[in-house]
Amino acid sequence: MMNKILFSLLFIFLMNKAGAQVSLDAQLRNFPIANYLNKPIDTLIAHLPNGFDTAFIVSSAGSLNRGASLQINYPNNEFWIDIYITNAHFITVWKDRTTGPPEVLWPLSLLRKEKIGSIAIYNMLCEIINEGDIY
Amino acid sequence: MDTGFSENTKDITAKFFQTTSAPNATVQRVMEEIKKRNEEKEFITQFAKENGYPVWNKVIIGTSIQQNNETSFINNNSNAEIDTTILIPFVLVGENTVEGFIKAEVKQRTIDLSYSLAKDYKAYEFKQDNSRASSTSFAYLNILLNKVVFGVNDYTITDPRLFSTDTGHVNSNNIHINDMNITFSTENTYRYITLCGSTTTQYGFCGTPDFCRRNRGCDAGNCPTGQCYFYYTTSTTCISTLIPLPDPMQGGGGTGGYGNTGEIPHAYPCTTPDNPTDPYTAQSNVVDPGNCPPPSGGPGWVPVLIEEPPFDPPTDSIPSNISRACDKELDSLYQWGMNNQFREQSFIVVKKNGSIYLKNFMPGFPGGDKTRVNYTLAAGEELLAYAHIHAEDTVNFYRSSFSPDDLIEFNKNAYNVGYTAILEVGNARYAFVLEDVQMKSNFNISKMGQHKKLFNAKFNTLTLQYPNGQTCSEQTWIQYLGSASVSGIGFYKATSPNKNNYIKLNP
Ligand SMILES: [Zn+2]
Repeated sequence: MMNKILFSLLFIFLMNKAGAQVSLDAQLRNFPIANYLNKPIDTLIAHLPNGFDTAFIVSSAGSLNRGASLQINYPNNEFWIDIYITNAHFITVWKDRTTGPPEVLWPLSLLRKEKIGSIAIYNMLCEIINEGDIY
Repeated sequence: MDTGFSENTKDITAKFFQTTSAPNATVQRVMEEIKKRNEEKEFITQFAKENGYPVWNKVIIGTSIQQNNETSFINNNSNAEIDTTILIPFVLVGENTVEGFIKAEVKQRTIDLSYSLAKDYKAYEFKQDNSRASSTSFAYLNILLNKVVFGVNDYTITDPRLFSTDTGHVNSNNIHINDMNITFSTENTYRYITLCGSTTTQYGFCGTPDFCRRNRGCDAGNCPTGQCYFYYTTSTTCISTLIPLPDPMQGGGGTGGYGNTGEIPHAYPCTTPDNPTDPYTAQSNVVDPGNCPPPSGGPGWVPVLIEEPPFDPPTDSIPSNISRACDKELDSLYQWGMNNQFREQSFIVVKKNGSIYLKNFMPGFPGGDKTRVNYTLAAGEELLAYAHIHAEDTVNFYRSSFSPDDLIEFNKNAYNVGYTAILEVGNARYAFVLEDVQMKSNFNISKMGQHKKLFNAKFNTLTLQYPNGQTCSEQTWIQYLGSASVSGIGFYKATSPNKNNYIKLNP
């Protein structure tokens, strides 16, 4: 585990040193989050740096019964993005979580239409490298 | 010295000027001025009997630069002067509250004196804001002085008209002073001492319209309509020392003269129509007591001397201590949430100079928005915990334990052993406690940022075995975190009726 982390850090370090192309780390750190607040999640997805995992993770947004949030991962979970919505119009916010998994209770197709309230981008050390919200 | 003073008068006078430490030169000038006036016409005996004795080592001092201008303030000097304003609290013998204060305007050549009583707040307008001439501002100034003298941070508001913005529905109950400082502000070429206090105020919301106004109290605790609740707000309020000045034309307090001669006049606004109450525009703030009697009654607040919560060694633990500190608040916020479309309200618990208090109450959302937590700290404050409620409709849902988002929120500030997340769910309270920093880091890193995915997957597998949602969420955490001796995160539960008695679920 530790070797893998060190290797990844070394990799990021070398990528930065090489400077040949903008690293994913730099792209995500500089991503203009403010431009996507109060816009549909779909708009954000259309402009994220390439390479993210298209198996999005739907989850609750407050208590287990209150939806919903979306997490988007980059390969090997090197980075991930937590997206929370505001003022839901398409999903039904309150659902009994014991009746089904989050992606069934809060269908992704509807969730993607909701407007974004906050975004946080993490690196694999669980550090927030970029964030913003409407509040 | 007037040799006609009786022995008793001498004793009282000596006590009046008694100090525990040497006052600074400006305060000494004020003392000399009062002595001089008293020698001209003895008034201290009466003053001390009625109002008490000054606390000379707890004065508030501020410097102001006064320019000559055309405002209605008394200003006989044509040139700018550097002035010093001093507020000297006084206390009745045997009492534990400030009775009022002497205000001294110390100029180059002269000293203007007046005094105000805490109960004078009734002479100020009950404007529902904190503007300088409002009764709330004046009462607040006295509360802050009381804190300076007695160090008490908690007050019960006994006059519901104070600190309320909606006296029909909202009644302020208690205020806690989190922090206070003295600054200087400039307004209309004057510089004033400004006292800023950060306070957390508990309000009661009355379900019965106009209940507060009619009953001078609130039905939040005893609610006929089922729509009553308590809520909390943290705010910073600043008060400039704009105490009304007596009118030099009329003489002060009906007896002595205003300003730099005679005894100390009592200054309070007169609320008769020809005497506007805004000290900026008032032409005659001290008038014939015949048509403007001084206010009577109490100060509108009483200090709360908080008893230490009973120490209970067998159940004492980190979550117990923090939970006791916010016991009432968690219960009432839960009630509030249940009355307000399932909102999730949050606050933080901080420690400063040995005292633990709550602040930064944040309302939740009825929609799908993330629960927000405001972690802003004042200087010297240490973050001990964040707390929030899951106020869920218990007919259609259940009182679920932490969500994966709550663990992510906890992780944001979990750097010191003992850092805690407290969750109120009505019939129980849950806590996460950081017990080992390195183990916690390893645990989080091992999950590779996939807390939501992994927790949800585990929850899904347990719903058949534990059809009760609360039990299912609890069991999921026990399995997901594993033993606290490995994950470094303790998971605790306290069950009603004793929601401060925690049991560790993942030993
Ligand atoms: Zn929560």
